[in-house]
Amino acid sequence: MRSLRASWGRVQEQTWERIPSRLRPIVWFLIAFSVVFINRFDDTWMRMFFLVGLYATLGMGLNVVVGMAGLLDLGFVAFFATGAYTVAIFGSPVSPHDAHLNYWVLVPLAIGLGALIGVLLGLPVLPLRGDYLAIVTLGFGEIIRILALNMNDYTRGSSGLFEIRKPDLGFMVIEDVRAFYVMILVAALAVWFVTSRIRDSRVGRAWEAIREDEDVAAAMGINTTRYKLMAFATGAAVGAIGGAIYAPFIDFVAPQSFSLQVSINVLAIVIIGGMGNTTGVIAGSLILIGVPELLQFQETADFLQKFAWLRDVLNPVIHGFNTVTFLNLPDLPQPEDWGKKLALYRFVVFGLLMVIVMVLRPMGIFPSKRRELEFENPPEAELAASQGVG
Amino acid sequence: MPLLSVTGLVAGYGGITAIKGIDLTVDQGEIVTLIGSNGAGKSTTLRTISGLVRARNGRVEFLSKPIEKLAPHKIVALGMSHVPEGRGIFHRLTVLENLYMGAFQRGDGEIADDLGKVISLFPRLRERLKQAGGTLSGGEQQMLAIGRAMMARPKLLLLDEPSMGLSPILVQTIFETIQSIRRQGATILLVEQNAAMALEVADRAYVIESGVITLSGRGAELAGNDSVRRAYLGEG
Amino acid sequence: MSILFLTTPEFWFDQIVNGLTTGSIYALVALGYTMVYGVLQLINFAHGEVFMIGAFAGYGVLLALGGQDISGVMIVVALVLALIAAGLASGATAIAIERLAYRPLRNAPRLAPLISAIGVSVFLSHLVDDGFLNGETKHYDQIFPAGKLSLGALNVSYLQLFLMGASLAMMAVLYWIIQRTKLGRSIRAVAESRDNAALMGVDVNRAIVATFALGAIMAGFAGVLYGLFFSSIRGSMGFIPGIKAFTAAVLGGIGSIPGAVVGGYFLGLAETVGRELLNEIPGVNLPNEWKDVVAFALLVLVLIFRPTGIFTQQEGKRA
Repeated sequence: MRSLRASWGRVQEQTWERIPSRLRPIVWFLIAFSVVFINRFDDTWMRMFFLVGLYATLGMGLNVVVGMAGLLDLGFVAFFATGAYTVAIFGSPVSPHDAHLNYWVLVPLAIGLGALIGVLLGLPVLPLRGDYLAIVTLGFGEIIRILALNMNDYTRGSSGLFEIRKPDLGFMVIEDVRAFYVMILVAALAVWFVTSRIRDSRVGRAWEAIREDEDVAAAMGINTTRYKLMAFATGAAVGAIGGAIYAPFIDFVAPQSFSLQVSINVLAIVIIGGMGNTTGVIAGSLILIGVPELLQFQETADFLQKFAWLRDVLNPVIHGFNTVTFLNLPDLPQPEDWGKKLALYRFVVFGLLMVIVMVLRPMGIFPSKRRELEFENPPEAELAASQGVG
Repeated sequence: MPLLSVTGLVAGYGGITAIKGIDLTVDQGEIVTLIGSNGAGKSTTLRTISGLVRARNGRVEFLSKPIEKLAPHKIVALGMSHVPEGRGIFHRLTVLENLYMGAFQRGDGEIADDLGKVISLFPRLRERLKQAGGTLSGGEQQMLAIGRAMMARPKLLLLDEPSMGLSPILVQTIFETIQSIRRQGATILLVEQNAAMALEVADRAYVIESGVITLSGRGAELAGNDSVRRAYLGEG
Repeated sequence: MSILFLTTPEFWFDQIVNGLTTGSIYALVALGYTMVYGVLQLINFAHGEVFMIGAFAGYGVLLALGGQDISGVMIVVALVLALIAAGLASGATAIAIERLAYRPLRNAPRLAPLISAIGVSVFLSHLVDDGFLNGETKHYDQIFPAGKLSLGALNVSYLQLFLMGASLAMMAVLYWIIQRTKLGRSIRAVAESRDNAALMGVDVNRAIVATFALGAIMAGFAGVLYGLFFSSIRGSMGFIPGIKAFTAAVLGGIGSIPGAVVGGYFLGLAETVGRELLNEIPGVNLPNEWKDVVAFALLVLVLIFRPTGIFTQQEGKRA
């Protein structure tokens, strides 16, 4: 037991040294970027950067649940919606229940409500096997949308809530997309700081033990239900923060914004970026959110014009193929539409990537060193299981 | 040419190497026993021979064919039947269905005849044919497990701890059954902790310790060996 | 309770018939969840999409045979062909999914196959919606003869009769395969213990593939029945019925085949009759969308109080 504890200490030391130094350049880059280059980009670009930051934040929240504690949450949108609706219901003049409260009062309320709903949802299912959590959260993510749609007295249904009061800093009001970008950046850094501190604490080690083998963790005296609940509530609170920032930014909170797609986006970022690892989540958000947005830009369309010749080459091939087979494939679209078409297929790609990553690179495209080590030297229990019929 | 020949077999689970270079042979018509203490690698040896555990090194030849890379069901098809530790009864299948599972690889028309033979060998099973396997007592389950293995008409029968958890009278019955199966022409590789019983019925025996064969010889010879008597027969 | 008499017996009869109709579809889909869970302890999140593929295969066959113009004896032929095509398409899809997305992960950490399953689900539903249909909804041709069977004041449409009868027949055939054939025995053996089944000479991978295929064929049939009854089909159509069918499987005790069937009918009835019963309480008015909420609430309640299902004997928690 003593040697086990000693080796735990070593792992902890190493990660303490390694992870911040790995992340530091990114942090500096983001801060430098936001200060120096922020005025070089137009609003479309800044909107993209805001969304990347938002999803990176949400990803860090879900990462606590999926990556650190190993619980599959398929309804993360529920907590995002909780945060957005809290700020909108109590902070918009069009809301039937406007509380005339300052935005900064509503944010902690949103976080608290998010965590509370996380606990209420997790309480019945977390003592059970992890698979049940997946299906219950999947259902709940959809239920929250149905509730938002039907509880007209609070949410105004599909008409939605708008004119949401902006965050007021005293010396300035956050209205401009640049200001919102800086705000999400600050939130992301705060979330990163808090979650990485928790991960390297006793709680984080308990999560890791639960993730690797719940039965063993329970046998070691870890109250698994309590720690799972903590992970779930932490993730939910971060989701609510994202929602609370998104609501005044987009200034329209309606059920159609809170579909399954949001949950899938966040999950794909965590999985494809690399479970349990903040760098991966940021990279995942850049690729999975940034690239599809980028593809829809006018600049992209202009650039793709240069490839018009490709259409002249490939269309005869398609025609030839159509005459040989019974298929009736359409012509290639205009080159300026390629970007938009590709962006439309993003979920097809996400789904495929999730399978490919699981099968070929289960630690994600950007694995953390620590998880990589685990996968190279899996615990004996797993190897023993893999000796069965293959 | 031995029926089964194992050379330099290495296997294990995860970071643990449970057997470290086992050599043994079983000839046609023999009862060979593998004795050893708990955790010596007896069950792993059987599980590697029947393909449940992948061999890391070494060879297993059955009927002169290398089988160490074959999937378990292909090894069964060659004529090897393995009654695992804990008997491997399907608790939710009926006794009759369990018996039919034994003949899973067979497509001939004599399955019903063999069913009759097994039932006459173990009359206790007759009245329980429609019962779920899980409702049988330990002794009945062991009879079912052996009867089921015989339904495969095996050329080689691997038995893992058939006496485990049974009363002395039942152990006696099981060992009598093993001998009567042999008289009908079966070849048996028997793993046992009950070394006294095993050495009594076996033609030859191997002693395994920490994954290595340390002694081998005729059953009666080993039963007379001092170190075997001390270590496995509980004699001072 | 006197309020109950404000509505007619015919009203309640209709509710029961509607509940049994949707329940039939849930039951057929639930079978796939419960069988795969029984053998691999995996929630096959892509099962709803397997159901969707079946609906589209049936749709394609009906369209190819003349759509709206199918009449007379051709209706029977068209229905049979649509069901066969759906079964084949769904079965082939499920076999491909098992081979490519699940089998490589059979010994991976528990989370990996679940994530892979959700990836397949996202891929398939969006491939159909965004890749092929551009978000369009397709509609089944209403080839089934309108009209109804009347017994006094009680009516059942022919379509609903067909749905209930056909699904019962399909489930009976499945039950026979599982209980009475060698293949079924091998599936049940693998569900109990993969190692012990292998020692009997069962090709475990083949039995697992067969489990996926049988469940998928049932889901494919259910897809056609769904299309005939609800008409609208699209790539994401499998999502809600998928969750409901899983709920049905949990209600009946996951892993149990009869349980999935009973759970399916129970859920169908709970959604229709249950919602109307709640609406009888003064001041309560649950719109139709609340069906989903009712189903979900049931799932959570069952998981809290009887995780092994409400119709099973408690054998100790599976958790």
